[in-house]
Amino acid sequence: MMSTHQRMKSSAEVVRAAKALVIAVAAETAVTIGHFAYGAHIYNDPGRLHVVEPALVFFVVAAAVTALFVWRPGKLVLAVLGLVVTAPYLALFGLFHGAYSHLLKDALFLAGAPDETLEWLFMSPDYVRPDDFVFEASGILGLVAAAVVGYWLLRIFRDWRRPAGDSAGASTQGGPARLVGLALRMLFDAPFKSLGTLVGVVVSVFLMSQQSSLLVGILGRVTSFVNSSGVDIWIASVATESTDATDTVPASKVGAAASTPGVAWAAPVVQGLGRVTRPDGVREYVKVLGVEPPRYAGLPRSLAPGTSPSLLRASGRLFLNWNDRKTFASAEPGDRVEIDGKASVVAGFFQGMDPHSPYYYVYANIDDARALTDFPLDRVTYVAVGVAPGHRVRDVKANLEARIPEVLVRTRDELSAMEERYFLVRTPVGVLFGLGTIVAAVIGAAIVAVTLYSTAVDRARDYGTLKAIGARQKDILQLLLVQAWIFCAVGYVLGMAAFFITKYHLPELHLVSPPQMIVGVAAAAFASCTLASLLAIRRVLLLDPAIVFRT
Amino acid sequence: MLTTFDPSIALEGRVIGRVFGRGDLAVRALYPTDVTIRRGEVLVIMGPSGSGKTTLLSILGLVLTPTEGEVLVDGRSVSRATADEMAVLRRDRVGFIFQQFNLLPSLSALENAAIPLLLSGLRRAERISRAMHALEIVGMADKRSATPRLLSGGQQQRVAIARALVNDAPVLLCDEPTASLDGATGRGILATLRELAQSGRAVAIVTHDERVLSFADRLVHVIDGRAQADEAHGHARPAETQSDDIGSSQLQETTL
Repeated sequence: MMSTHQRMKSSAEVVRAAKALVIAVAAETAVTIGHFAYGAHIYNDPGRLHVVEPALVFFVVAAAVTALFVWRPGKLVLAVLGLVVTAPYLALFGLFHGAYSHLLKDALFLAGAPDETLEWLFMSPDYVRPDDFVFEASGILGLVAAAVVGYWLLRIFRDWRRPAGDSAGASTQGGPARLVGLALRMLFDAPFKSLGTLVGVVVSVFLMSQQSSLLVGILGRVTSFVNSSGVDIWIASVATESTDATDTVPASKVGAAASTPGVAWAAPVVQGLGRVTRPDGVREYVKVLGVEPPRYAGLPRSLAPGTSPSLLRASGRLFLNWNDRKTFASAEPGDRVEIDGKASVVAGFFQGMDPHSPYYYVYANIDDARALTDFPLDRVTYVAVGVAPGHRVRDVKANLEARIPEVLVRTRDELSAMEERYFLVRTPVGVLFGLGTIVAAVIGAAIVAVTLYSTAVDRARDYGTLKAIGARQKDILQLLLVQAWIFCAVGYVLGMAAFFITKYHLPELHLVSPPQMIVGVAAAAFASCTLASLLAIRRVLLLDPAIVFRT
Repeated sequence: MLTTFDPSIALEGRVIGRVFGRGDLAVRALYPTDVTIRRGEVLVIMGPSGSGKTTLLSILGLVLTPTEGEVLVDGRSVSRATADEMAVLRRDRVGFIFQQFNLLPSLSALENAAIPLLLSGLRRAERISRAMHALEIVGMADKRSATPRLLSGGQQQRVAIARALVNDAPVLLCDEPTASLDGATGRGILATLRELAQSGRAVAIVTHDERVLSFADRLVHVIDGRAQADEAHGHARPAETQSDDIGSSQLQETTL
C-alpha cells in the first residue's frame, strides 16, 4: 500500500512543479510582452501593443488556476489548468508565434525563400522581414519559454498521479491500450448519430472557414491599393487615418524625400474624388489617382494584357479597373468616360486591385488627375518612395522621419495595417464576421456535445461493460477523445473540401485561404470538438460499472 | 494483523457489507458476511430478486466498493486500491459473464473476445492468437468473424466466456449466465463453466435457476441481504484433485 510518506512527497513535488510553472508562465509572459513592445517601437506599430492586455489576463488566469490546483487538486481543475496553459502559452505564444511566425520565417528567409512566398506564408501586417536580431531572437525565445512551461505542466500531470499502489499486486503500469480502432468501430454502432455529429462538424468547419475567409479577403481588398503598387514607403499628411481619410502635403516634400539617404526614388501621387457617369447614366463617386511619368509610382504592378504605363503619358487618358469593366458596358480601349463633365479615353486596364470601397478607382497621369479633380498644383496626396538596394526599409523610414518631420512616414506594411484598423473600427464588418466565426464554432460544438452525450447515454451498458472488464479511466478518456477527434479530423477534411469547392466555384465571393486561416480553423475545430466531448466524458467516467449487472 | 494465506482461495470477502444511501434514506443491501471462492470449485449464490446476491457478486468482482469489510485477491487486500488499480485487477484477475452477454455489437466474436487484451496494451498479433485460443476453448473458433447479431444467445454467451477467459483470469464471476438461454443451451454453458472450474479456476455463479445446483460445489443463499452457506450442499474439492475430471475436454488447453 502507498504510505502516507509517499503521498506527502508526491504533494510536495506537485507544489514545487506548480511554483515552477507559475514562474515559467511569468517568464513567457514577460518575454512575449517585451517582444511585442520592442516590435511596436522599432516598427512604429502601436497595434502590436494590443498583445499586452490579453497576455496579462492569460497570466493572471493561469496563476489563479495553478493556485487553485495546489489548494484543491482534482481532475477537473487539472484539466482547466492544462487548457489555460496549453492554449495561450504552448499553442499561441509558443508554437504559433515562436515556432511558426519566427523560427520558421527566419529559417525560410535565411534559406533564401522569395519575398512573395514569405508574405504569403506570414501575412501582413504581422509579417515583417527578419531585419532585427533582437526582435527575431526574442520571438524565438518565446518558443524556448513555452518549452519550459510545457515541461513543468507535464511534471504536474505526471507527479499528480498517485504512485501505483501494490494492492494485491495490481499495477496501472504496462503498455498503453491501443483504442483508436475500437473507438472507430464503436462509432458505427450508432451510424445515424455519428452521421449527425459529422454533419455538425462539417457545417461548423465550413462556416468558420467561410466567415474568416471572407473577413481576411475583405481586409486583403481593403489594403490592395497599398499593397499592389510596389511602393516601399508612403509619405502622407499627419492627418491621415487611412487612404480614404487623408489630407495633402506640399509637393516640395517629393524633392526632400528623393534626396534622403537610402531613397532610390521618390514620386508624387495625387488622389482626388470626382463623379463618373456610367454608360447607363448613373453618376457615382470615383477616386482619381494621378501618377507621374516616367516611373508611374503608385500604379498597380499588374496591368491587363496590352496595357502599358506609358499609355498614360498622353493627355486625356486613364486606366480603368479590369473588375469594373462590365459596369462600364464592357469598356474597351478607346471608349470615352466622363468624370465631372470632362471626357477621358480609356487607355487600358489595371488588375490585382479590388478595393472594398464605395468608389471606383481610375488612374491618370498626374496633370490630368489634377485637372479632373481640381487638385492644387503645389500639393500632393502621397510621396511614393522606393528604397535603394542594400538599404533596410526601417532605416530609410527613420531617415525620412528625421529629414521630413512634419509628415507621416509609413512602410507599406504599416500603411496596410492602418487601412485594416481603420476599416475594422469604422465598419461593423470585423465584428460581424468575427461573431459569425464564433457562432459557427459554438454551433458545431453544441451539435457534437449533444450527439456525443446522447450516444454516451444510449451506450452506457457498453461503456459499463468496458469498465467492468478492466478499462481504466484513462482508457475511457482516450476512447471518447479519440472518437471526438475522429469526428474533428473527418469533419475538418470534409468541411474544408466544401469550402474550397465553394471558393473555386464562386470566385465572386473573394474567399481567400491563407495558411493562418487553415491552421486556425483546424485549431478551433479541434478545441470545439474536444470541449464538446467533455460532457460525454464526464457522463461515462462517472458511470457505475455495476450497471452491467442490471437487466 | 498477520493472517495465514491459503493459496487455494482465489477471492475472499471478509465481513463485506453494503449500504446504499445515507441517513434516513440508507438502504442495507447486504449484511456483513464472509465469502470465499476457491480455485477448482463452483460456488453458486442463490436468492430471489432483490435479495442482494448481485450486490454480493459486484463486491466480489471489485465493481462495487463495500461499505464494510474488505475483499482480498490472492490473500491481499484491495481496500486501498485506486479506481484504476481496481480496473487492472478486474482486467487481469477476474472474468465476467453477464446475463445479457454484453458484447459490443460492432465487433466480431474474435474482437469481442480480445477486448481485455486490447485494454492490456498487447500487440495485435498476440491479441488475435490468444483470442482465437479462447474461442477454440469454448467451441466458437468457426464463428470468429460473426458479429453478435448473427449469433444465437448460447453462442453469444460462449463468446462472453471466451472474453472472460482470454486474460487467463483465475476467477470467473457469472451473473445469471443461463437466464437468457433455453434449457439445453443453458446446460451446455453450465457444463463449460464446470469444466473451467475443474481446470483450476474459481467460478462463482449468481442465479435463481435451480438447474445450476447440480453443477455447484458449494451453495450460498442470500435472502434479504443476509448470506448463509448451505452446509448440506457443500463438498468443496481442491483444484489439484480435479485434474482427472477434465477428461477429453478442450479445457485442457486453457493456458492463455
